[in-house]
Amino acid sequence: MSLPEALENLRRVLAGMAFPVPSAHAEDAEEIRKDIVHQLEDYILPRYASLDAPLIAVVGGSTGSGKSTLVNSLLRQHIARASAIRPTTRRPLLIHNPEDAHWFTDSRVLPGLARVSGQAEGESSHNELALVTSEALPQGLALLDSPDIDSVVEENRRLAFQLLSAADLWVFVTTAARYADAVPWVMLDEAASRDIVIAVVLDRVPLGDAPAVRADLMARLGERGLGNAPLFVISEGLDEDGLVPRDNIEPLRGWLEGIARDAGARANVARQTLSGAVDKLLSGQELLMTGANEQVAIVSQLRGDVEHAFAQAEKEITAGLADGTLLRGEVLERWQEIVGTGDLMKRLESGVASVRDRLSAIFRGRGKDRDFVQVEEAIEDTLLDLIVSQAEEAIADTQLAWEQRGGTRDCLVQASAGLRSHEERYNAGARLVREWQRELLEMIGNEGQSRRATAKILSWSVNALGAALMIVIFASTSGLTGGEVAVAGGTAVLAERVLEAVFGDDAVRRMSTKARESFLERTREFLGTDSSPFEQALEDIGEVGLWRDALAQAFEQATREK
Amino acid sequence: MSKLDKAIASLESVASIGEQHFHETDEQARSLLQRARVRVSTTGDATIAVFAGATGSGKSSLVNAVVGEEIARVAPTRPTTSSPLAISSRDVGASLDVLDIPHRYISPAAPENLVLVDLPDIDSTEEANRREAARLIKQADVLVWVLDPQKYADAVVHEDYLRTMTEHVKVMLVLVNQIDKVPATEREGLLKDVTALLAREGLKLDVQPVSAVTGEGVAALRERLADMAAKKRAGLERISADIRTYAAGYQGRIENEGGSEPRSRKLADFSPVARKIAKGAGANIVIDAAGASYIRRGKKSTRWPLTRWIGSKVDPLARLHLGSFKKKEISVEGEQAIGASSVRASASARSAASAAVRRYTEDASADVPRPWRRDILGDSQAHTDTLLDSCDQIIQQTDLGQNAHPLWWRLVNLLQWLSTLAAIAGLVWLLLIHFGEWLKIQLPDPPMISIVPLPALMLVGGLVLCLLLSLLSSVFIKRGAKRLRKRITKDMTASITREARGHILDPLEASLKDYAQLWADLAYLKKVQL
Repeated sequence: MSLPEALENLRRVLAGMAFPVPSAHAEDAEEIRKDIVHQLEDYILPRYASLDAPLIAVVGGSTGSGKSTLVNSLLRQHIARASAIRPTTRRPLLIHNPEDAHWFTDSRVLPGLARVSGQAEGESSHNELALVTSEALPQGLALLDSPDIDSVVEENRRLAFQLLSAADLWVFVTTAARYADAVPWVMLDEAASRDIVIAVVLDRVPLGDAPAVRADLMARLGERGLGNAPLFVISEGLDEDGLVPRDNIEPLRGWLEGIARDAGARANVARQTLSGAVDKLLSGQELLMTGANEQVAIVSQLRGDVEHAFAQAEKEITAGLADGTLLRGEVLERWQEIVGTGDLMKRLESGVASVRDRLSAIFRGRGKDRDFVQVEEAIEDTLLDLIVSQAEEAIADTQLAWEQRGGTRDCLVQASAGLRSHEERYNAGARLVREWQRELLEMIGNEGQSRRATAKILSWSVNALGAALMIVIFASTSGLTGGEVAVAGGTAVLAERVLEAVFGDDAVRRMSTKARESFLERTREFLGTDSSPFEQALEDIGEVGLWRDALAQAFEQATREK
Repeated sequence: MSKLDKAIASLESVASIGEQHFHETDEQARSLLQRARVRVSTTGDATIAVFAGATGSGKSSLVNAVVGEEIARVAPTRPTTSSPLAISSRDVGASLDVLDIPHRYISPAAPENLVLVDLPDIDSTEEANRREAARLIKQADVLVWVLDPQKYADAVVHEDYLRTMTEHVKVMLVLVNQIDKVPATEREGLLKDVTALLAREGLKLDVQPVSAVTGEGVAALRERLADMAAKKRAGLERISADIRTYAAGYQGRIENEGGSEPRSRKLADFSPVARKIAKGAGANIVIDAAGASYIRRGKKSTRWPLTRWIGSKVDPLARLHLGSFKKKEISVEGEQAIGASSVRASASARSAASAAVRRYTEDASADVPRPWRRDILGDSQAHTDTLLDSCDQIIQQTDLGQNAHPLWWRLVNLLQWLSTLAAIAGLVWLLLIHFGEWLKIQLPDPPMISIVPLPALMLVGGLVLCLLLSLLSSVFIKRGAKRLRKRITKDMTASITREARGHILDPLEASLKDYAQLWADLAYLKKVQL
C-alpha cells in the first residue's frame, strides 16, 4: 500500500466516525478529525495525485488587514471586493491564469465548495468558491483570497482555517495595528509547526512608523521560529486607482512570480508543504486515539450500567419466585382462609383418611370457587407488583448511574423519552400475568386430557387446582422465617398433596417447573422492553469500538508508509 | 428597606439556596455580593470609567484627548499599554485601592468626580494584558468601548465581551475611533454596519464616531462622561446590570439542566401512596379480618339466642394475633404479634410501595433541575425503607374496633331474649292448655286477641319477631362492618401519611419551597433596577 492509499484509507475511516459522547477530549478530537478530513480532501490527496498542478497561494489574515486590496494591487485590477465594512470577503475567490483553468473547475481541490464563476451576483455563501481568470497572474500559481481568521462571523473563521490548510503557500497579511493580536499568532504558530512556505505582509503601516514596527515584528517572527519567512512592509495610502502603489507591491509580486516561473522551486514548495502537512496530520493520532478510547470506555460503562441494573432486576424476580417470600401476606392469608391452618396439615400428614375427604369437599365446593379466584387474584397482584416495581427500580438505577457519569445528558434524555409510562408498564405487566395464569389453567386442562383423571379433574374446580399449582410454584421456603416456614410449608404441602392426588408427582413437578420457566421467560421480555430505550440510545451512538480499531490500523499504515 | 438592600437580600438567598442544593460555592454571587456591599458604603464616590478595546484602537490617545493632556503613553509598536493608568481631577485613593490600580495621575483638567482608566488591550499576545483588562472591565462603573475601522468586527471584543453585556447598555458607550481614516463616502455605511452588528447581538445603542487626531466627537464624549459622573448613578446601574446578567445566566443554567418554573408549592395528595404502602404492609388482611370480626361479634349479639353457639369459635383478628380481647393476653401475645407472620408484607408488595413513593417524589419534583432532583429522589428513597418498616407497627396500633359493642346490639339482644321468652311462655301455655288434663290442671280459656288466642300469638309472634330481628340486624351489621373497614382504612392512611410527613414529605416540601424561592428571587433579580 502506498502512502496516498494509506492516507485515503485514513480519510475514509475518519470521515465515517464521530465522537458523540462528551468526554474529556471529545471536543478537541472532533475538531482535529474534521480538520484532518478537510485537509486530506482539500489538499493532501489532490496534491499527491498531481504534484505538477499549479500552486495555491492563500492570502489570509485578520479582518480589515487589506487582503482584498492587496490581491487587487498584485493584479493591478479590481477583482476582489474591498470595503470599509467588515468582514468584506465572505465567499473565497480563486484567481488563476486562463491556461490553468482545467486544474480548478472540477472538484479536484476543495471538493466541499461549489464553483461559481467570476463575480457572481446575489447572496454570497460560505459553501462556494468563486473562480476568476487573470492574465496578470503567471501560469503555475493561483491566488486564493480568503475570508478573515478572526472576524465576528464564525463561518468566516472556519472557512479561513480550512483554506489555509489547503494552501501550498501562505501570504499572511497583518497590519501595524494588528501584528500583536493573539489570534493571528495562533495561525502563524500552526504554520511554523507545519513547516509551510510563508510570506508575511505588514500592511497599512503609517509613514514613519515602518522601522520601529518592522524591527518589532521581525523579533516576534524570530521568536516563533519563522525568522526565515520573507517580510514585506507596505505603507499606508493608496494611489488614485484605489490600489497599493506599484513600487510598494513590487517586492511581493516579484517573490511570487519567482516561485511561479521556476518549476523546480514550485515542486520544492509543494513538497515541503505537503510533507509538513502529513507530519502534522500524523501527529494528531495521539489525541484522536485518546478521544476514541474515551468513547469506547464511556459507552461500555454506560452499557454496563444498563446491564447491571436489569440483571439485578431479573435476579430479584427469580429470587422472589424461588424463596417463597411472595407467599407472604395476602396470598398466604387468603389460602388459609380456605383450607384452615396447621392442625389440618398435621392430621393430613398423620394419614387420617377422613381429612382427604374433607379436603376434597373444600376443593370441590362450588361456593368456594370465588375464594380460589381471590387467591389467584392475590397472586396476580403480587406478581404484578414484583415485576413492575423491579423494572422501575432498574430504570431508576440506570438513570442515576448514567447521570452520575456526567456528560451523558443527551443519551439519557433520548432514552428517557423512549420509556413507556407507568400506566403502560402496569397494563403490560397485568396482561403478562393474566396470560401466564391462563396458560397455567390450560396446562392443567391439557394434563387432564392425557389421563384418565379427566373426570376427576372436572369434578374439581380448575381455579382451585390453578391456585394450588401457583402456591406450589412459589412455595420454596428458604426466604421465610420461623413461624412463616411452618405455615407456608404446611400450605405448600397441602397444595402439593391435592395436586398429586389428581395428577401424580411427576406431572406436578413438570408442570411447576414449566410454569416457572414460562413466567421467567415472559419477565425477561417485559424487562427487555424497558431496557431497550437505553440500549437504543447507545446503539444510536454507533460502533465506537470498531471505529477505534479501524482508526488505529489506518494510522499505523500511514505512519509505516511515511 | 432600600432597593439595594432588597437586591442584596435576594442575592444572598439565591447564593445560599444554590450552594446548599448544588453543593458548590457560587463564586459569582459571592463576588457580586461583596461589590454590592462595597457599593453601599461608597455611594457618592467618583465614577470609574474604563477605556477598553483592542490593541491599536487608540485607547490611550483618546484618554489623552478627553483629558486634554498627554498623559498615557502612545507608540506605534504593539501592544503599548501593559498596565492600567487612572486619571482623575482629585485624589480618589480609596476607590482605586479597591480596584488595585497602582498607576495614578492627578490632572486638574480631568472632569470632576470621574476616574478615567486607560486599560491594556483585550486581544494581544500578552496574556497578562488581556487578564488585567478583563479584571477591570468586570469592576468598572462605566465602560467606554473603543473600536476602530480595522478591528470593529473582530471576534474577541464581540464574543468575549459585548455579547455577554446586553444588560449593560446604560453604562456603556461604544465609539469608533480613528474615524478620520475612513473615506467620507464610506463613513455612514460603516457606522450603520457597526450599529447593526451590535443590534444583532442584543445591544441597542448609538455608536459615536470619534477621532483623537482631529478631535472630532471628543468634546461630546467628555460631556457625556462628565454628565454620568455628576448623576452618580453609573455605579448602581452597573451593579444592577451585573445582577441581571447573573440571574438570567443562572436561570439559563437551571433550564439547561431540565429545570422549569415551579408549578405549585402544594404537594399532591399522598393518600393513594399511603394506601399502596398500607397494602404492601398487609393492611388488607387486617382490614378484612377486622370486618369479619365485627360481623361475627355483631351476629353473636343479635342472632337468635338459642342457635348462637353455632359457627366459628376463633375470632379472625385473634387468628392474626391482633386485637386480643383480654388485657392480660396483649402483653404476652403482643410481643409475638409484632413479628407475626401473616401480616408481614411480601417482598414484591414492599418494592411496589417503594416504587409508588418514588413516582410520587418524581412527579412532585418534575420541575427541579437534575442534580438537585437527584438529591431529592435519593433522600426520599433512603427514607422509604424507614417508613415501610414503621408501617407494621402502625397497622398493629390502629384501632380495629374489636371492642365496639354498639348499644343497638344490646337492645336487639334484649328484644331477642324477650321475644324468645314470650314464645317459650306461649308454648308452655299452649302445652298446658292441651295437656293440662293429664296433670290435673284446669286452666281458664286463654284470652282472645281478635280471633287468635293469646298463647298462640305469643309463640308465633315471638318467633317471627326473632326472625325479623335477625334479618334486620344482619343488614345493619354488614353496613356497620363496611363503615368500620372504611374507618380503619382512613385511620391507617392518615397514620402512614403522618409518619411520611416527618420522613419524606416535610423534607420534600422544604426542598420544593427552596426551589420556588430561588426561582422567585431570580425572576426578581433578572429585572432588578437599582
